[in-house]
Amino acid sequence: MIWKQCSTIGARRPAKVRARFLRKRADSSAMSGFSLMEVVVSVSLFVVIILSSTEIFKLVIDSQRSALAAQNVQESLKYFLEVIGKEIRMAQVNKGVCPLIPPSKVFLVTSGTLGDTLSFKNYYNQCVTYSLVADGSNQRFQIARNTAVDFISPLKVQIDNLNFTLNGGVGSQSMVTVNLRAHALDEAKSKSDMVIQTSLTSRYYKE
Amino acid sequence: MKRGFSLVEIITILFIISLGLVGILSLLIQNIQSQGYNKNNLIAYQLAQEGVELIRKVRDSNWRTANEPLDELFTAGQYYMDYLDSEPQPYSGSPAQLVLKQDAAGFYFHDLASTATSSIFSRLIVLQNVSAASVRVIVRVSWEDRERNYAYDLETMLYNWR
Repeated sequence: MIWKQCSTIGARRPAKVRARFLRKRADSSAMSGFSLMEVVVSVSLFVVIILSSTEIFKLVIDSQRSALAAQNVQESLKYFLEVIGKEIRMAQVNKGVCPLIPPSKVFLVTSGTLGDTLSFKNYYNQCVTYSLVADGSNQRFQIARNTAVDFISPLKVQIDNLNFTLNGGVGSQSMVTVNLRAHALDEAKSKSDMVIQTSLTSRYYKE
Repeated sequence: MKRGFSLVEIITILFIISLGLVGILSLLIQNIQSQGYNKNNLIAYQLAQEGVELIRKVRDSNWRTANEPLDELFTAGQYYMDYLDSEPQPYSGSPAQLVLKQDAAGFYFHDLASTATSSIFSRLIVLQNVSAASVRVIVRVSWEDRERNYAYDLETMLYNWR
């Protein structure tokens, strides 16, 4: 097709020369192009391969992202339970140190605006309060020790629920059951929503 | 003059491409599976820890009240117990007793009669008498995920020492 167009360029040449020129052009393999069918097939193949490979890359990146988000949630939960586990086990009977907690009790659970609030006196005679607090658009785990107040959960983890249940009973050892639900605040598709629960008994044996 | 690809060449090319694809896909699947396993393993660990703590609470409460020796307090056997119980309940062999259900607030508990949704987790507590002053506590939390069974075992010794 292309060489036909070329022939118009050679229109003014003498017939003999033109014929030789055209024959030369027609035979020359350098000038033979792709047919329309070949171009259509190769372009569509190219498009299919590129699209499918970008889709695979997208899948890999998404799964990587959600794995990181899930790991973040799990590590955060491990960290909270480590911190609060130690502190709750070492909790002591409040002998009038903390004004909110009854003098003969170890733990006090009250329902706050978002979840339950747990208060007790820790090993260092500090009045500790665990609560769920709104911080901007997300909910975070807050620990208050006397006047020092700080968040313990990272910004990228949303704590949906924080509940405490006391199981003491008369004469039995004080026990707190902690239950919390958390998920990742991320653009990842999998929110890695999980509910974790454990019970912790006080190691304080003196009356 | 125009020589196409031979069948063997095409088969080889397809084989290489599919090897690459299968590699990527199996990596993805493994990633998702291990994510689920890690999550359930963490929950199971905390539930097993709770099981040990519940038995410990029975011992500690016993110290405060009756002050019996440990071997009289705990009879060797299989039990189940949740955070609302004050003592371990004997397991009669029906696995439904061990299933942990979840209430509206998310708390895991045992109750055969309850209509609350069952979680994937079950918990069994095994007590063994080692001596008059010590008890071995073995807690097994098992769960099923994608047709596969997993278990987390936690073991501790409780002594009659203060």
